[in-house]
Amino acid sequence: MKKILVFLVLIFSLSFAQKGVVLTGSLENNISAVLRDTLLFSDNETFRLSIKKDYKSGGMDVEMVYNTGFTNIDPMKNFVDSSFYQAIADSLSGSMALKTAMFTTGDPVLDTLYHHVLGFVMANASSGISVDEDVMYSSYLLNDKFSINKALIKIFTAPADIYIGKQQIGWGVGYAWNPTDVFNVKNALDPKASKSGLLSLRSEINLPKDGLLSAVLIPGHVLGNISFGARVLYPIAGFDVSLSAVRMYNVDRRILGLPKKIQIGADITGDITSKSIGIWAEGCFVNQVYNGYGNFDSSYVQFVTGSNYTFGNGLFVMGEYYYNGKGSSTGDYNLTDLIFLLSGDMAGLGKHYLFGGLTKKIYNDYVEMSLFGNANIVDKSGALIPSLNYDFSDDIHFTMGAMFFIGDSNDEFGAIRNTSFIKAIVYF
Amino acid sequence: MKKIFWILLLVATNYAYGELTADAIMDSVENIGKVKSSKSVMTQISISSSGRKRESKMVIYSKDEGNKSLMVYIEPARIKGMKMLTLNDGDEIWAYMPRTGRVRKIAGNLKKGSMNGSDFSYEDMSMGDRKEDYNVTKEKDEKIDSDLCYVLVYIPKKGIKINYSKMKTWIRKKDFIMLRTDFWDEDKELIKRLTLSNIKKIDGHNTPMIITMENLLKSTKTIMKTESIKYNIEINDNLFSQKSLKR
Repeated sequence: MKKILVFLVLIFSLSFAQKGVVLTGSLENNISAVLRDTLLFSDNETFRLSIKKDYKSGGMDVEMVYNTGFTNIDPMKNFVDSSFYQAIADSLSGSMALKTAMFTTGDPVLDTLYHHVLGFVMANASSGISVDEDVMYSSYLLNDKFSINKALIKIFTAPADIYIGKQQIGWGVGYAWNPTDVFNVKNALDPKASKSGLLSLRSEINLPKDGLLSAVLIPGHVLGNISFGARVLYPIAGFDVSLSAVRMYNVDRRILGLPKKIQIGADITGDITSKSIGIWAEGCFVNQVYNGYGNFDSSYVQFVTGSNYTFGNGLFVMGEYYYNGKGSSTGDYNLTDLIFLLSGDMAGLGKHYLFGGLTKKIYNDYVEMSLFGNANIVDKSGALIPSLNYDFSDDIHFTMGAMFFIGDSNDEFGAIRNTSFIKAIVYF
Repeated sequence: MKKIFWILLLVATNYAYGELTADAIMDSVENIGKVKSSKSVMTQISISSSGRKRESKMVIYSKDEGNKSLMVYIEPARIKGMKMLTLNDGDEIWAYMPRTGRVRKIAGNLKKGSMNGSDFSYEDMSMGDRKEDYNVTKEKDEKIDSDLCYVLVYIPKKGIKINYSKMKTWIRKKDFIMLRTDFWDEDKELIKRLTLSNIKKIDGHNTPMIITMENLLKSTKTIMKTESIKYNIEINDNLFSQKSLKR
């Protein structure tokens, strides 16, 4: 804590000493309540500090995050006792002891799963793979309270903008799911949440006729753990159309025992019917380069398609369908499915999903009410997320809401406990 | 110089018995409003029916007679860094959200939505090609304060999807400055009033320093104040691209 304070003081001093350095940030307090045997409360504070300096032909951008308080209640860590998650964990109890003390999430069920995943990999690992060496490079290392979310140098040249360092990657046009964005997978229950940065080299290059080429390279600690991809975007007849290709392999995949994957993707977004209805579609074909591990499909398809509309009274409605070619079509889930979920190879356990939502401003536009839902069509479970957002002032914002999970304890969403939350954010 | 000649010719040939036609007035308004490029800093003040104020500040770059524009929010902290790119006279709009690092095309009916909680919709910021999209008629001249104005009425042509069923504009006769526009909704109810005031000559261009949009149904108001503006400056075309949104 002391080191962090010293670091922050240094940063502040630097910013005042250096003309043109812009400091912004936020302080967020999140109180959650979940009903287990008794009502459990959790309180979590997140402090974000962003430091930005722009030059004529470049700049630098840093965002630091400090989390404090009790462990936040993540709905995905609050499985009901008789859920399939718990059943998998129980069946694994007593499995080989692992040197994975650093793999702790604070939740016994998820921790057991993480530990078993490592055990699974170690037991099946071909010679030459050393999990111990890889662990420290994995994003599953969750204990950091202080993290650097973004730290990059920007260089703008006539042909290309180059970004070097930790940064967010934002590919695709889907709202809740982005199958083409294998680098920075988002959470369908909170699609607008800030994503963690990835250490990468990115370049954006203008192409003739308003085209744009985005190229990404993500280094690994060994040569084989390099991921890279490119996306070309063109506006065609009022639509934004893009094609992408990715080669993906990293420590997380290595630890989970997953092979590298080659992916080809495409997306399109625009308007139909005299520009009154917005539509979008995004999909990918994935080829897993099979490496001797058991029972994984070698190739599969994923896509999303959606639409939105705003009524004259300001009511905004949207809907999205997600086809997950890797998901289960029966509703029976096993450890392999969980591994694919943890790795980001799929954004849900089932094969078919529907996401929908509506928002409406009320009370002089200072209050926004919203209702979003995500349904697994295969096992007929779902999540409903109603919320009220209140702008107390330009820089102080409150959100009150809940997550209701519907379904049987053996279903994807039925396995998670209901949660309510109150969030306050101050921006500066 | 050549352009001024053509404007004068256009105005002259559109006089009918000493009176301008609706087309000629529209052309004059459009030509006077056209500038090669501009960079302005504006403050947006949204006032609720209870009198509560909300302020934001933005830098707006514009080029090719307003055909391209880039809006960068610099205040408040909550939306700082948010950018809006508008191309093809507002036909296509993209938004960049720094929180997610994602560029998103503003699709379909979202253009009818409120821009950053203001009384302006995205559509209001770019009303498209008025000649192509509307049937325009000229009404009897009226006075706004002491200024005698042309009055034009715009009705969207069949098949054109626009948020408003009718618009009425008051244009100052002496310099073709649009002083006021009223907007009627699809139920033919007067809902909004746009007023341009405190007009100053900057770099040879008549510039409204205050633009006010009132929502007459909700009793809310948004004021756009021009803090500073520079015309005909060098702006690189690269600025108006998706690449620059992500910077």
